[in-house]
Amino acid sequence: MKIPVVQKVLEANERIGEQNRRLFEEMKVFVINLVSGPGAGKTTLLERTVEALKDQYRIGVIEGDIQSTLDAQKIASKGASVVQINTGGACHLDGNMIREAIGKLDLTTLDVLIVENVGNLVCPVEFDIGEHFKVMLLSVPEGDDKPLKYPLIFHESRLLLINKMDLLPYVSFNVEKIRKESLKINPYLEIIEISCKTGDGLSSWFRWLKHKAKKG
Amino acid sequence: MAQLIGSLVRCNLRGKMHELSIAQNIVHILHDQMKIHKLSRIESVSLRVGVLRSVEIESLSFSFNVLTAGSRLEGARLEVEEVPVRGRCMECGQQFNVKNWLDDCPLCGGPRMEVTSGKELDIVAIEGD
Repeated sequence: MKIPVVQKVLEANERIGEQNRRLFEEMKVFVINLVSGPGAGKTTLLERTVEALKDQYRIGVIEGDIQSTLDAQKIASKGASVVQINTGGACHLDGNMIREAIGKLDLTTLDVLIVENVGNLVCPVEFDIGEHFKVMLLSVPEGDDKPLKYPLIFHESRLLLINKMDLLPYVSFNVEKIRKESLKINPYLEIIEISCKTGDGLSSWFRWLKHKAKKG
Repeated sequence: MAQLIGSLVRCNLRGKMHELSIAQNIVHILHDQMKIHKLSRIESVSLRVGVLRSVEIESLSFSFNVLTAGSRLEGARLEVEEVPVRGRCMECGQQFNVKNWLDDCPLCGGPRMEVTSGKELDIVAIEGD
């Protein structure tokens, strides 16, 4: 017997993601899902961001790592409320893990919540966690071939931060190529070049975040 | 089972592990559908998977087989139809298959397009008795 069924495979996760999103909206918390490959500089970006904005915004961070609490400790020391999720092998965070993590945060005390997803360019994009926007971080040493290799993450992100711009003289990375190819995949993508080390471009990122948080 | 999943995840640490989560979701849906339609066995499951999803079919089938071994779903086959990426030109509205992301609109040469399909990840039919 052949039974026609039309069901999204990830429907259960999408439902939880949608519930999280409604909760964030009720509580007026602006939520970013920060995605990148390993080593692109997510944690350093968060440290800089918390340092710069902690007097204007109450910032919470959910830290997704396969193991260890190293990153969470670094960010907490800068003055954010941090919840660590250790996925114990899983390559991404999903709606359910975020639902559990926000149970440990008092959302009424937060304006902005940044979720640092597991470093991986494929899996985290598949699972809605209820964020307002995905922000992708790509670092110059990773190479400029990423849009065509991993199109979905470029397609789903609202903002691309190109990090470690200070290393541009030492590696082969064509910024114009990245801009062109990622805009082909996602014409709505905004792109900001930064260096968490020198601080170049970070003010544009802070401006973007403040502007979106106000509207969200 | 938990341990088995753990070792499976670790031996696949090449950034392509969402197939396991996807397979788990399929298993949950199939158990529900078996109850709804009073099936005792599932022979095959038809899936539509958009190319943009970067799902490796072999890895998905492998995960599915591991998860269903020894259960009522053992032996069920995944039949996957891949859905190509399609886009709509933002200048003239022409729809076309996106073979290469760098291509412009084949009708007007417009450089900007929106993706209209290629992100599917759906179960469309189940065969069983």
